[in-house]
Amino acid sequence: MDVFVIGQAVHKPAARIGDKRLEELVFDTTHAALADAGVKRAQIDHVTIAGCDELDGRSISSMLLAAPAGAQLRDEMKCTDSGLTGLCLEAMRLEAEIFDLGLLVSWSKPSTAPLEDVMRMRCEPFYTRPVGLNMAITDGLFAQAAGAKYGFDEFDADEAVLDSYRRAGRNPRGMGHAVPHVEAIATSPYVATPLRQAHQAPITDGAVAMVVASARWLKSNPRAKPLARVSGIGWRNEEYDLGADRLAGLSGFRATLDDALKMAGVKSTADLDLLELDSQTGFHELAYRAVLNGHAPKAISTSGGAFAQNPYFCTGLINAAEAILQLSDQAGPIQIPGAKRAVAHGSHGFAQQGNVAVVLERV
Amino acid sequence: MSAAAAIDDVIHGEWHVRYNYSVGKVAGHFFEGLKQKKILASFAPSSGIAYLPPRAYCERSFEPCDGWVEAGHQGIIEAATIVTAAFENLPPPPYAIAYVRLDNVSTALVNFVRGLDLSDVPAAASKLKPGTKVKVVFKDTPEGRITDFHYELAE
Repeated sequence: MDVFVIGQAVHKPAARIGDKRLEELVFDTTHAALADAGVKRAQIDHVTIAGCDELDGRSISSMLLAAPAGAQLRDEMKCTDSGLTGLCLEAMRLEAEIFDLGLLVSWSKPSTAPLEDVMRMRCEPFYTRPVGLNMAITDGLFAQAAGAKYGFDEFDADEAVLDSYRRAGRNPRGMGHAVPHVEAIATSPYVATPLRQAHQAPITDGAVAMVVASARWLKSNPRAKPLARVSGIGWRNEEYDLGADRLAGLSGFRATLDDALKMAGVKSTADLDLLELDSQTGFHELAYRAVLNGHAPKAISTSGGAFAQNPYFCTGLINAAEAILQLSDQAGPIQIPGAKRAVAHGSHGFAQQGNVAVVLERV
Repeated sequence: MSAAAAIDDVIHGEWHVRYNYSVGKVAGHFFEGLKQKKILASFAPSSGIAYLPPRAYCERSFEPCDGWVEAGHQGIIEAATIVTAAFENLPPPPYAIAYVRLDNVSTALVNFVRGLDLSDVPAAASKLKPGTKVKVVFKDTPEGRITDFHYELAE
């Protein structure tokens, strides 16, 4: 795959971005990405947007948000799974050589509504809704099942969270959460056993936009400087029902990474300089690392991942933006010297039913 | 109102929408079974998988599930959690739920676990480990809903 990110912008995160309505958040982020790329909207020949109607609280929210995403009278497609899935769709549109220069825009403002009440709506109505599931409850089920399979417990999760906050604390683009004492993590209230409140990455508002170009466009615009190349993409959806194999097997995570690496011609995750994981809890971080055991990349989630900022739905695409900064020597104090190849991971759905991975390479 | 307050203001909104979901043949048969205190799993001869909740089709072979198997009233926990946080529109905490694979079926079905002393949450959680045996307990007058039964520890 030969697709290039030539500019990007990540909105400054906040627990609640209260001084902008959603359209303003999207416009500001899109405008900044165009400026970063040094191109005008007039040059854009298509737009891919990634948003979640349930979280936005508007049905078909793209009807209002396509314009501030730069899509007025442009070929526009919307992706509703996750921001990182949007990058896969955008890459395919360019790889197909139908278009040459596109905008990818994704946003999430979970502060608008009680997140878990929105997640509860994802239960199918016959068998699970009467019992009641949401993101935290299914993460509790995941934590128990994965812990039993891989041999970790909540004390290990305490340490994983602490380590994530330490990495996040060094990332100047994160929320700057104070690094908690491990005792504070270990004594925070249970949400759904064995998951405690402090095991969860704090949810934030945020937005991210990228300008993405085909190899053909770059050839005819030699003054443009790509930040990174998209060389592989992959995604898988697992079963909806949450038995032990589904929860702890992490089949979707494994297959997604395998697909993306194969497309990029990369043999193993051990050949990566960086893997930015979408770990919504300390238990997820432990489980993903257990799967990677023996094939670990040189660095994992240098940005702090979801513990740096976590606009749920966009978090995977934020991971891609952080990886792109690394590959273009713009990561600041958390720069990995000479980083050449990275993977951004994203997940969505109850107990990461969906996984997405994008391989990014230095140009 | 100051300009600073206005810029941070919100407009409150709520949606109230009623849905009527078609139950279909497979779920309808399952719910009718519950009224007889029977838990019926759909069976896919093509793969040998007995599904609970029942499906009209096998997810793996992608062939119809055209058979039925009656699940046992005992099974083992595959995953469980005690919900201790209060969530809007969910039961008041604490309460326990578990995905249980009942005897004679291949997949796990979620429901409440009752009869546990939840005053000591870690102690209660330790009794809900994967592999723990549980039994099905029906309410006296089933109505054809998934909440017609719950799980209790078998021993």
